Amino acid sequence: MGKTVLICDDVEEIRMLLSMAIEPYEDFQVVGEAADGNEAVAKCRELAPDVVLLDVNMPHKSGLQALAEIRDVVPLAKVIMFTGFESSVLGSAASDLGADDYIEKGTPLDEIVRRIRAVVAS
Amino acid sequence: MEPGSWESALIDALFAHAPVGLAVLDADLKYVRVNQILADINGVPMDSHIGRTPTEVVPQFAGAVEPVLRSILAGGDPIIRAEAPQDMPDGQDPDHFYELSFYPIERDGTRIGVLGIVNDITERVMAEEEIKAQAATVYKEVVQNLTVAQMALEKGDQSRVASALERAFTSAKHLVSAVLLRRSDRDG
Repeated sequence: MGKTVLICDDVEEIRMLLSMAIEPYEDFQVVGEAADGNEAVAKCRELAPDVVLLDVNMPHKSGLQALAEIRDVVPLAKVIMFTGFESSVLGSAASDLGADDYIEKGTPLDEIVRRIRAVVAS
Repeated sequence: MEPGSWESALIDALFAHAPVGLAVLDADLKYVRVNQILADINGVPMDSHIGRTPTEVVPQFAGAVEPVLRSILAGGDPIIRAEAPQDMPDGQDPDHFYELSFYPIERDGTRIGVLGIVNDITERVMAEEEIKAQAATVYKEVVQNLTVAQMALEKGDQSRVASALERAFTSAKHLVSAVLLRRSDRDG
């Protein structure tokens, strides 16, 4: 069984397309989706994923706010921030809060998969 | 009308009707004259300003202002449309924003006082904040839809590409319209 992945983004189409991009690879298995920060934390508690792909800009609780809680709930999970902001702006904040990597929206799907794999291997 | 009385009437009219706060301070930094708008901003009656320094009238505000006034009296450059610090005097609405200008008053080449002009820019600041918030929301929509379009393109889902691009275009159009309308309101 591959590494389990939780996809957190408030746009259903993005969750679906990310899932479609990741699922063909046997070393990953998408186990759940979350549409806001609160749901992301709850799904982490329920599913204990190996990898959390976490959108920064989500309603109710932002990805950065959720990140701190996710770190407590699943300390061993690899968390990759998925962001529409410039990575230079987000980078230090995300790193300070314990993100393993951050990927800008617009990154090609195969590159996203490559980055997830690199984080898992690290 | 004699020139002196004409000038005096002009100054009276300015202090009565100018839509900004006005203050004249002498070389000892004591208020010589203020208008009602400035008195309202300071939360102190007009008469209670006269013969007193800003430190005595509005202590919290004066800490930032008096060094500037002294610098102007000593020959420094005027201050033009500087944004006021937010720690405004007691009794003031903390959500108000002010812009300050200070100019030297000279007689025979000697600086004998300072003219202060205080402009309430709250409406402008709030409008700019609203535009920023609106821009952030629309920016997010544009990024989201472009992300969907890019991912769908990679997956060969042409109809999803088209609909996402259309939504991104509509969002961007709304943003530009909002900015242009706001600018036209402000300038017009």
